[in-house]
Amino acid sequence: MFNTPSSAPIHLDFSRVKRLNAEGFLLVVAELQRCVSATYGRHPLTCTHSVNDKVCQVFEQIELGKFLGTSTGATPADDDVVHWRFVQGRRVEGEKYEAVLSDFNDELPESMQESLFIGITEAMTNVANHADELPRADGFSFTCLEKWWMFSQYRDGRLTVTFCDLGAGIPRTLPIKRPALAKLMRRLGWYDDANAIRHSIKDSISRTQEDHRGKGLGQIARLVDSTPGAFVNILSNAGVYGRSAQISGGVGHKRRNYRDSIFGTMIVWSIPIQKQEES
Amino acid sequence: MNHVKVATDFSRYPAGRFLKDGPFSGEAFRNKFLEPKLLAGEVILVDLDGTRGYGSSFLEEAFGGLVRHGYDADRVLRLVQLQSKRESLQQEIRGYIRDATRDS
Repeated sequence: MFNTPSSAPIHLDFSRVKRLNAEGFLLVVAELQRCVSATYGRHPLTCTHSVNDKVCQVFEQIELGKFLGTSTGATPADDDVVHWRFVQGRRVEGEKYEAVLSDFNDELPESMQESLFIGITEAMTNVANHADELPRADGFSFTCLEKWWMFSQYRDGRLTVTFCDLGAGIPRTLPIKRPALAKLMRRLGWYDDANAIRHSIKDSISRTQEDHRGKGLGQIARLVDSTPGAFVNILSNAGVYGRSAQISGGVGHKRRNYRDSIFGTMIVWSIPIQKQEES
Repeated sequence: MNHVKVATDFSRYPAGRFLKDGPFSGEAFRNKFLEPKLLAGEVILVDLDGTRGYGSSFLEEAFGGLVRHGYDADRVLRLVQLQSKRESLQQEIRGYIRDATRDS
């Protein structure tokens, strides 16, 4: 894309898109915005919309048409579309909690609203504080310093909040922030992306007075612990660490490494709630 | 006694650690409300209720940061009085003050 002749238009073809996954689509939106920023808008975007009405409704619901400069003509009406919310920002903007979650004030217990506010703003703080530690590892030098993107979605009795940044990722910043831990993990042969995420969180939760920074990751991960059926997945580069509050009590953990990296960090909180129907 | 209600005098959305993070960070709160009173040796009552919440980054920098900036922890605990429906929040803040160590 970046080797195209000056001011050549870039065409995005969504015609064969039939279904949108919130996490994947959030990354697409973030990457698109990064590309446009990187080229200073020199390359006008053109777009072929999906023939799928649901996909078009989502485009309109999150106002992607404004960014792409073209409307699908669809009207968001379906129940699984009208509860999508999208915001983006830079550094820490706590007030943007309301843009994605104020619709759920009646359904979420006050303690969960508070936990979500804390989790989201700590994620923003991490983006702001670690943006300049390392360049992104995708081979392209343009950085989206301190930027983040966030979706919320209500579907099938679950509220899902997805937050992402396009930074260096936890596995690459851990050796800078916690060199002793990273060194120990390497010596034991544990150092992969999923384990780096897991141990960063574990370290953050258990940290006491030795370091005044870095407790936020623990708050991000633990906010689901007291809500049976809730879970959080933290994807960073090629790894994912998941934490879930079991219906039977206790907290479950999972981790996995993928072949490819997302070159950044994505946090997905999923919480079971009963949305009251609007009259 | 000096009194500050965070939700109305500062922000309903306090968040972030440093000034560079945003306008309602822990450092901003410390600079604006806490340090001037401590410098003057005055007691300040901080009413914590009414905000959306407090992340550890904000709290640690606002209160623990006082100790790093040279104020004795006992003096901070004596002059900065906390008010909240949630005792656990007050305990968390006192913990940050006790745990913070002075920057050399």
